[in-house]
Amino acid sequence: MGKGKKIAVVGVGNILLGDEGLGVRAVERLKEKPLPASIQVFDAGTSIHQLLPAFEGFDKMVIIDAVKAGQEPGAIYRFTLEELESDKGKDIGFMLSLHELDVPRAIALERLVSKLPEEIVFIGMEPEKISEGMELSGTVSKKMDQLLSAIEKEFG
Amino acid sequence: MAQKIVIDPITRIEGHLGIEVLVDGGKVKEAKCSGTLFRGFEIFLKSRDPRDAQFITQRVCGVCPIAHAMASTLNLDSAFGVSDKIPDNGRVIRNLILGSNHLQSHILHFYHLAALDYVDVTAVADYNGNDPTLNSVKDFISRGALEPFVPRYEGDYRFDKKTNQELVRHYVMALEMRKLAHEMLAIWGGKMPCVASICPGGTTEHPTIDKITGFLWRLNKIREFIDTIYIPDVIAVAKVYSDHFQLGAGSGNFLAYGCFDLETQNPDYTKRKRYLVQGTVENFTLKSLDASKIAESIKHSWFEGPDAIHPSKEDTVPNRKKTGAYSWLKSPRYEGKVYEVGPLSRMIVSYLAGVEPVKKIVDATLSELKADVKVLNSLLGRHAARALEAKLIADAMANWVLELKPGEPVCAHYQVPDESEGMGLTEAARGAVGHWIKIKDKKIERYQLVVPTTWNASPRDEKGQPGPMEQALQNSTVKDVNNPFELVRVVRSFDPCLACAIHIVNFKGRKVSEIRIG
Repeated sequence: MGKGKKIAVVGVGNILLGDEGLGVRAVERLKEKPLPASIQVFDAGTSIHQLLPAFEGFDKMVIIDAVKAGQEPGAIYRFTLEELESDKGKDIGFMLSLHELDVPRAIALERLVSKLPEEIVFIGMEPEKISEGMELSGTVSKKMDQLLSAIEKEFG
Repeated sequence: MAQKIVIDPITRIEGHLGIEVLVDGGKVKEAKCSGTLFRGFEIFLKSRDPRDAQFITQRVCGVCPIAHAMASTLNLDSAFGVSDKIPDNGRVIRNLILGSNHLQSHILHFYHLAALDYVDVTAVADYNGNDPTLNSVKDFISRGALEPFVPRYEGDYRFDKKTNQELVRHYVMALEMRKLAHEMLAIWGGKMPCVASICPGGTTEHPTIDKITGFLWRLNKIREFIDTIYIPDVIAVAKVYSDHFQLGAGSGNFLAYGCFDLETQNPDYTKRKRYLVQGTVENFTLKSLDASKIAESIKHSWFEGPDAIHPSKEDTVPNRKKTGAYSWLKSPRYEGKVYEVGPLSRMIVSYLAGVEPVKKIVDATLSELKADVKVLNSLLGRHAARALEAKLIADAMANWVLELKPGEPVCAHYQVPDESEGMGLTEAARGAVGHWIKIKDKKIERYQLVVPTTWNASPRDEKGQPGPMEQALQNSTVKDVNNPFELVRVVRSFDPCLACAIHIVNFKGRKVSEIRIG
């Protein structure tokens, strides 16, 4: 498994807003499992841009996040950073606050000074309910095992 | 005829700062700032173990987790009755954690958020020299990856090509500095971004010679950057864009809770000796801070309940249908007046209080700019205050870290009381942050947070007074309503943190079935 390929699995999101935190909840579950030493699991909360330098030296990053792509709640997605960037194209908007330094933009900036992994994959799930509260919605909870399997497929 | 401008980049990030401005003949007639995301985190802190507050509240904001960790810990210190028992090691380590965070935040804000309004990155496309940094940016741009560098609104660029290229080099150096500041914080904070080492009573991290030297060499690199690059760059911008001293004046009232405790004998945070001091300023006259004079109006906010009461007495009852309301932010006021918070407030309060290093550097900067202290109440004043504060904090930390005593205690013992009340006051990079707690049967009965952007981006209050950012927009002019870059610059100068907490990746306009796997 993995043949020593160093992989960082990074959960992002806000656990105070229900399904918004599904990425963090997924890595919490992953931490309970026996994993090879080449795989490290991170909880980045809502501050992944502050944590990026820590991913120098990894061969691959797997980012777990809530993703709104219009499918039914619980739908699982996989896409690469390149796919995400090409989709966004020129419709990038602008930044008023540091919060808007979103993940692809933060990675692009960090690459000017840090050797981040070439391979960056997002595994996401369509949220059902994003509102204040520390519990996941029923639909997302039920799909957690499937989300974990999707993440583990990236290790092979 | 008056024209309405709406700046609401809500398509990319949910829960945002929406700004609506009415412009007539190039002058802003009316401005409304609206927080579009309900953030009633206080509601589910209720009935939890008080010690959870530290871990939960730092998740509230992706930009200021450290400041919330500090404010909640000070809050718990006071509720648990140990705020005057923190050992010096614990006090100093907390200061180093908060200070590293402020450095990181200030540098990132100027270079990676604000500077691109003044620096034309495309100048690097014509670069022909040997500087590896500039060549990597050139390569980056030539691959069409302009994305991180281009603001949506066109700016007016006034530097020549060579200066622009040099400033782009600084932009990349600033990323390195941010990385160092992050490592400095991790030395004492352990796990980032959600630090576990700040705890009631002090810290869990012990000082060692290795940690002290590891901190100091990184700090010294950042100090050199601040002295030779950051401050000169801000002054260069201030000279070339000196008309921006006339843009974005706020209410003219400044409030600071102060931060960086220099002692812990005094349990009262409003009186305790702090490096950057507590106080309020009206008409450039300093008064002492009295936390009982803070009240939050909800007249124009989507909340129910008694209006204009102290945060320690407030409940959080949302009502999205309330008439006359236009924001999820409440309107914190001091003595019923509109106060701005942030680095500018801290610098003006400490300057008028006569804090020696603050007075010295502010006077030197004003004399170089041939300006009076009153011009600081402006868009450029906010950027200048941030840069000067970065130097003041970095220089002070170089002394504080040497006060650490390996082998001595870092934390005082505490017990969770059956009933108690507490207050935690400190400063996030972007301004005053306060937490209030009421404990009953060892559980949280009530918890309130008043965060910096709530002060600055607040809507009108019960007297109809616009918030500081609304006033700053109303004190601005717009040359071209189709390209209102002046307004965006005014908002940015406050370093707002409103989009706190939501950052979903929107992946739209593509056939998701092709990539769907579950």
